[in-house]
Amino acid sequence: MSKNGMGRRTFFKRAAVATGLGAAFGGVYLGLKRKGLSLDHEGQNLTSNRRRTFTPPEKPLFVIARGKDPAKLVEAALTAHGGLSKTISRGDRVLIKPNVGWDRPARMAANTNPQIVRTVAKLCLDAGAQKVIVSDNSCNNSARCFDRSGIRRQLEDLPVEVLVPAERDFVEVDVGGEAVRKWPVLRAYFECERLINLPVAKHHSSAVLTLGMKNWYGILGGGRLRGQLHQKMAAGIADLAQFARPDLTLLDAFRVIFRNGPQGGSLEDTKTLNTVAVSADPVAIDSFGATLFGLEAHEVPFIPVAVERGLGRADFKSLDPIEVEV
Amino acid sequence: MLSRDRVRFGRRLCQILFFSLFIWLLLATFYQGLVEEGTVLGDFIPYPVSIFLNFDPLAALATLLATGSLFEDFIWSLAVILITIFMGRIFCGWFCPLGALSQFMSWTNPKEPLSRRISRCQPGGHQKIKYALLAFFLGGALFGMLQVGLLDPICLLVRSLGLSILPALDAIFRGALGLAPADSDAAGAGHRVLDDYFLGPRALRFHAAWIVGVLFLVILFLNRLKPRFFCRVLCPLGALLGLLSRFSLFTLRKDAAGCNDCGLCTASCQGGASPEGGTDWKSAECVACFNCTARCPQDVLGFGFFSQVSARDPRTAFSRRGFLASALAGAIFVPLSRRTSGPPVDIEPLLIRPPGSCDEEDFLSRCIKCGQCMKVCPNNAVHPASYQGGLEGIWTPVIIPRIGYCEPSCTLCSQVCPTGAIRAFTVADKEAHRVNIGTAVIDVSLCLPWARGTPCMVCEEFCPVSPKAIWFEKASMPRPDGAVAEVQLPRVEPSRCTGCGGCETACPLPDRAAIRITSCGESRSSRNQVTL
Repeated sequence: MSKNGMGRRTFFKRAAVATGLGAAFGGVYLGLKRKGLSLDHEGQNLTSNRRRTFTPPEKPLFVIARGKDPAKLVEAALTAHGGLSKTISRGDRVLIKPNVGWDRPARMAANTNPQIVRTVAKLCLDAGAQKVIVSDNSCNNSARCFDRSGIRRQLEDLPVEVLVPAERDFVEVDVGGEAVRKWPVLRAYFECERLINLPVAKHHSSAVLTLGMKNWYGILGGGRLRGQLHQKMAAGIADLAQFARPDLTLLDAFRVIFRNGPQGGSLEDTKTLNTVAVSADPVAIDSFGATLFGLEAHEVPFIPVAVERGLGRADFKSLDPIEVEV
Repeated sequence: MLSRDRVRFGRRLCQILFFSLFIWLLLATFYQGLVEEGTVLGDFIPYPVSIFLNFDPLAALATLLATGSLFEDFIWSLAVILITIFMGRIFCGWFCPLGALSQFMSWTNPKEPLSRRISRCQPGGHQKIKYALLAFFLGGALFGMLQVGLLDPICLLVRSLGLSILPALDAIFRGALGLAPADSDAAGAGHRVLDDYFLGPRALRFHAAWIVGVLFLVILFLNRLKPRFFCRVLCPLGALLGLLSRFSLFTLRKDAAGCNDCGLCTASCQGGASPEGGTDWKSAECVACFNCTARCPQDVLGFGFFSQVSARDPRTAFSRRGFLASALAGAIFVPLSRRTSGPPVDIEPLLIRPPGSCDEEDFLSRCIKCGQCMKVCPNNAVHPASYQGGLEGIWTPVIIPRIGYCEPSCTLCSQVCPTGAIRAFTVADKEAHRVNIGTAVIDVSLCLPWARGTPCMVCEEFCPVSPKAIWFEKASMPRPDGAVAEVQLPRVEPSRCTGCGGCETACPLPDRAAIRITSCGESRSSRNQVTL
């Protein structure tokens, strides 16, 4: 080619390299910018907050079911409650939040009964849910909690997503509470239209009991800093209950830990009560749960706080509970 | 008959195969879900990378010297010993994963003049160093100090990749995925692949493992100076196999009369074994890579059994005297390092060994620092010791409970330990307090209820034993404004504590935990106990 000027081939080569470099830098820049945006502004720009705000009806139904088979118990309780199709519309995405806090086998009752989780997931699918996600941010190693609780295995053959959350599955938002303010919340929470709370009733050393409202600690990330919420336990639980507003709570009191909670660790810490309760009123559920441990609602510190904030009623009997025996 | 090019192709294929196998086993050395034994759900690793170590005759010999007993899994190393006795360093050339990596890193630049390449590949005195290192390590091992894992190629590779290189790669991959929007499907799928097939969802990080990684990179790049620099100069296993190959029947046949001194064989020789005509073939240095036979344009080189041995020098170029001197240096190093670099006190509180570990002296004579127990720990609790065990204990496993605790239901570290430094134990042993690793102590100057009258009790919630080792006392704590706060003060009952460290991991103070594990009370020691 020409001796001094740039040859045609060289020109094209350099132009190609320059374009490539430009595109690479541009891509990185855009990627970074996008990443920055998705974490900004306390979650206001979450691309997909699909949660439908749920307000319980004036006088929600309250069902108590007793029986020896966990699966039948759940079916009977939900049927008496009017069926899940009342809560779930065809095509809804549903997040089920069991308590999978601890690396314990099912018989230790530290986690929600795996058959109960399975039955609820199955009924959600039957009710026409497009997608069912089961998730909890465990206290122990999450993968082992889902394995050892038996929950992963019970869901193996169902088209259900078992989400064992990693750090990336949380997005920082303003929860807007008194104790829980800016905090990482499970992204799936915002991606589902419907939310079903599936707690297990247990003794809890610092909260007195863990029931439905306490179960929302499991949608929070933040690693060990989550433990700082113990400093304002009752307020924190009420904050989360106010934030979460589940469409339905099903309390697993099939087998409970009555001492040494919330982990237990010995069969002698557990008791079989063969009971579940269903309602859209989270406070009524927890008040009923308290009675199973021989406590009045006001003796569980977070219940009066929740009542004060108008999250529900402590007097579950005023809902005229429907009692079912299976 | 196979053409010589095809033998070299077969060697390359074999290296790729075994390197891939190694990586697969290394990745499989991780929590893999649970299996049911009887009615108990337990964890079990069918294929840990230990399998490679079981075939390592150097690890076998060194632990045999150090402990006076041979751990039964090492029986497999006999296979490598026999192959080497009959066929020379085939293991180095064909099977060793670090050998494969070193050879890959030794690729030649085709533009480099042949004369320079030849002079770079010439054998030399540097090749003696590995024998000195071998003698040094074995001399120390004879007096109970096991340092061979620092340079043993399998230990080195497991440790460097497992603790440093792979976690760094995981961070790089996830960083690249982070450029996509966090909720996009592509990024999610990428993360899931890494979760399921790479290192799992937890971002593993190993304390002070950067040193391990940097040394590994240095070793890799030294191979640019001379082909297979590591194998030629540093590898104590190569040295051992070189000694064992002395009477090998598989030898290089040279037709010196037909050689035209082109030098192509020397320029491609990986071991520095003098393949060219007119010199003695150094059988102890040859890794049987078949480069020389493939490159020879005159077709005067060939490997075979029972070929003429006149042009062979099986000696290692390292004198008996040198060997003894190095061994002596290794022996002297034992008291030297123990008296000058041990823990500042007799019993180091931060030296928390994995459950089932032998008593310290026995442990140090068994642990080959391969790092598998660290790689396998699902809670990232086990880390390479940097200072806790003195110079002798460098890169032996130590639990740092602030990073991760010892899961009461887990036995994985004991399953992968190739030398029995961590004895096999069961979940029942853990529950019965037979493998306690320490004791929790409360720092009342930091603890929220103790120091500030603020409610907390997270440690008690995380205590996994029943009845709990952490109990609380209801107390009124004074506050600076004169008020009195009613709080629950945590206290530890040492007889119930297993030292698992769940409390220390969970303590919600952001920096230093107010409840910490000390090694005191560990089952493995009879001296490190506080109560009679």
